[in-house]
Amino acid sequence: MSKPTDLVQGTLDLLILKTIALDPMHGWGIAQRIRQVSGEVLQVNQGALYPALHRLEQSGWIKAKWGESDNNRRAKFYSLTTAGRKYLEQEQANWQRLSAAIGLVLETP
Amino acid sequence: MMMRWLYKLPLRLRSLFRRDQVELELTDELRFHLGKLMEENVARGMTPEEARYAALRELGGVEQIKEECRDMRRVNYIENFLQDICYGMRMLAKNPGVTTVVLLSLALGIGANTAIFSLLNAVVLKALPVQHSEQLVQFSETYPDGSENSNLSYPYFERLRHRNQSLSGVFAFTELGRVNVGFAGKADLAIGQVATGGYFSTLGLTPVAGRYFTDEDDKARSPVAVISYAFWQRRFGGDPFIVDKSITVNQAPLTVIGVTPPAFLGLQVGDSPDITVPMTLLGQLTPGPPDWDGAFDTWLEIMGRLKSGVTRQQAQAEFDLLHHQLLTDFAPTAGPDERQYVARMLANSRLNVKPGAKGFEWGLRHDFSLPLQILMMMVGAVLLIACANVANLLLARATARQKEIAVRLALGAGRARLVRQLLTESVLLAAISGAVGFLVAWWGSQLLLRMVSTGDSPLPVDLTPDLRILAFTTGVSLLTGVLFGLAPALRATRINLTPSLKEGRGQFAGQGRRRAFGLDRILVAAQIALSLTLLVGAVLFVRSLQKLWAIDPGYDRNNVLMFSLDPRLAGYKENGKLADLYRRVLNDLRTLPGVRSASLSLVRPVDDEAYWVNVISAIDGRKLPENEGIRIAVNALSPGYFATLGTPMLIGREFGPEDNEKSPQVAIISEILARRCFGSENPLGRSITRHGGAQFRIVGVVKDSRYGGVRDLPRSVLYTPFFQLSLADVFFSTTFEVRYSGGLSTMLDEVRRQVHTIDPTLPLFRVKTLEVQTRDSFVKERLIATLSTFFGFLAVLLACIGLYGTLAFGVARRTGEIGVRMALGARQHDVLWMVLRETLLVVTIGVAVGFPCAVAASRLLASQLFGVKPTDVVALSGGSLLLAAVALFAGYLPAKRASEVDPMVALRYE
Repeated sequence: MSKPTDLVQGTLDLLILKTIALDPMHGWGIAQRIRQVSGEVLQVNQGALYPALHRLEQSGWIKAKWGESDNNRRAKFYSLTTAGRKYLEQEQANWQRLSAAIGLVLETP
Repeated sequence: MMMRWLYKLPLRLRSLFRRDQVELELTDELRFHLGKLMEENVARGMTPEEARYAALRELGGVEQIKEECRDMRRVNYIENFLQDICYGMRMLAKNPGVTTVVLLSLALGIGANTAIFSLLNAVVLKALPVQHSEQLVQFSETYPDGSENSNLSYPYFERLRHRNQSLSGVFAFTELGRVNVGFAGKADLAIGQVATGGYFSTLGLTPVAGRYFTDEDDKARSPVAVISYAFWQRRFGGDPFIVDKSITVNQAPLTVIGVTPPAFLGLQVGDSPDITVPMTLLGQLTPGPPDWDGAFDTWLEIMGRLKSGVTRQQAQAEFDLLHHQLLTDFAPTAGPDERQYVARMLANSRLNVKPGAKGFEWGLRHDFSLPLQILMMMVGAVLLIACANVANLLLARATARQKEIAVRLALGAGRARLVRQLLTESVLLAAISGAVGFLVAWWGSQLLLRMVSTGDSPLPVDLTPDLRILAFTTGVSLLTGVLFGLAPALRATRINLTPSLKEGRGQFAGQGRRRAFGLDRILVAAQIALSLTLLVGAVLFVRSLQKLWAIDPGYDRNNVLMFSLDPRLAGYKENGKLADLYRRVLNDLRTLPGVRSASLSLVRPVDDEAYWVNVISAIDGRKLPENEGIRIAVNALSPGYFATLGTPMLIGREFGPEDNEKSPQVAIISEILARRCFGSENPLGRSITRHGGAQFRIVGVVKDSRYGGVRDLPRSVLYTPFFQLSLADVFFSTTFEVRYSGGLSTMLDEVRRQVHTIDPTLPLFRVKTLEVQTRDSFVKERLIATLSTFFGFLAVLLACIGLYGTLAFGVARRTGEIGVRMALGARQHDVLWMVLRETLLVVTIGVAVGFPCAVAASRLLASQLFGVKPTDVVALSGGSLLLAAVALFAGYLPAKRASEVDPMVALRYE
């Protein structure tokens, strides 16, 4: 397996937002999900995860609620706000445009 | 995206006010994550302990993550700021002695600055509370001899009003002085003025109640009056139905039609008219017909408003032409005596158009402008000295806290954060001082106003601090905070960590010696130089005042009580009735116990309200050439005046009862006048003629005395008998002088009772002793002498505190070194001398620098000095010696303490 790639802050935000778009999740769960869905390629830097979550919360894109985890322990669950949903759509579109553009450049001989 | 704030705001508030809760949650969140990691590791086969360590390592620094999350909370700045403030307060409370001294000296400095500035603002700087005050202009005339007169004549005003193109409005006004205002059966005195119809509209005032009178009212001679807000409150109790109420002014019935706004205090600082009446009513309110026709009889003050778009320079150009035209028009109306005068005026006089935004510039503003500015500079210097003190004290304290700062720096505190925290402490200090200073200023400016008010009531100057003063105090506080906070803060954080972290004072001693003349010494030397300048200034002013007081005024100031009556206000109108009244009061006064002699006069000695001038046109019937008429001052006296005042008659006699309405006109002249008219010949029996034709036979010559006040040079004065005047035509009130023995208050009571018995409706006013009257004539000099002495000594005190503090701290730091020296054989007085040497150095440099500064500053003050040169030896040497003595004493104390150090204790301290 190739070495897990470090994620830039902006992309981490995007991944977090997408991950919790459907279900509210706690920090651990988010990291796990990103790993799984990306096929073990993307491993979230645990030191960067929580600051990112808190930053997103302070900016109003996500909201948090305390609840019980699967093993009955208290955990903080994050979900998207309405504004966050719109922001996600925006950022997703931007990302796609960006990657398409990079792809074009890389394909030219 | 305002929706986001729905989430953001509660978060922020929570972070601010529920910090502990938020912290707990963060810990829980991370603990949960750790737990999950541990589970994973255990599942991989590690022992619980290994799992825990592995999890911790994987997660990374928990504290760091927490700190980063905290940073995300976006309330850091507020939090840090509050933290800084709390810490600052604690630090200040830890050292109550230092804090109190610092607070007090700063508060005093800021307070004094603000107080003087309030007075300066009210008297010199503040603009009239009208719209577009910058469009207002005032007029004055400059005469061929260079003198300036703010009064103009009525015909001049009329033509100016009709012919000018530059003004959108113009008005004339003049004061009536004291008027008797009757309302609801009671009569009381008030200050009145008359103004032409354009007064209110040109100024642009909005009435608080009712309306103002206009040109139509003026033309129609409507019997109306406008009262001031203060008068409305004081006399009418703020009666809401005041409009259309009837009052009498000097027995003339008038109707109140309006009230001016509370902020409007008249056009001349310090003169606030209570009641304003249309100009055309002047004849009904004063004896004698007003001079509507005399083109060269100046008695009106004129102000106007420029049309929008017209500059003052353009107006000046127009009025230069207009002035010439008007003089040419008026020339034919001049009497034969005046022809030459008119010709000179045509050639060389000018109408000045000056800015009128602040009102009329004569009077109080004129007199106090320069002294107040001088005082402003003095208090500025005091504030600088206080700031330097504070800077030094905080520098010293910062040095003492070096270890604490080093530890904090080593623990990772940013230098910026530390500087910010130290700065917050200083700004906090400045803020508290500023608040206390504001209170000091409030109380101080009331005190100042009372010092300056010499009339029967406090000066109507509005001292409520306005935005300018608030901004000023705040600015000064903040400036001092930054000024004395920055230097120590920067210095304290710029240290080499390792030596500071080590225990002991050794390194301090080393540092102290290398910077032989560090910042703190320079500051103290500067303080000494500044305070020397202030002290010398103070001594100069005090000596000026002494010289003024010591001048022989030509009379005996002690034990003379004066009071004024104005029976016209109580309805006495004819000559006969007035003469009887005056005679009766005088005789009754003379019968009172304790009265050695009594008299009355038209102009009182050192009169602060008016004096009377005239010209002698003929001697012994022989006319003098037209422009060689002798200018004289005039007074009218009862018999016994000179005896009461203690001015000796040189030859001839005083007036007596034989000089009355039916006897020929006689006069007494002053020494100087006698010499001017008659040389060394005997003037008795000769005659002189006054302008207007009245001829007087001379019956006595009196020693020269200062007519208008001690600063007045002895003048040529013509004294005529009071009872030979046409009393009904006299414009002034009369003053009685009583030489008494015994207590003043008993005398006062008896006098009041006596006058009350004669006529209870006669109010007494301007009740003062001659001594107080003289003192009040120096109010400016007394103000500046008192305040400069206070500030001079304050400056010296602060400088010496600074010196003491710096030296004391230096000694404390060098205790170890001193211990070593003494152990090695130094004796007590060697140590004493070692420390004293430093004091000597600083003081010498301070005085050396201060001396030329003091001389230079004194030169600037020369215009305010009397009888004292700016380079007065007594002031300079006395000031320097006094300062040096006090400073050396301040330096001696720490030196003494240093010499008493027990070497054993000192060495053990290390």
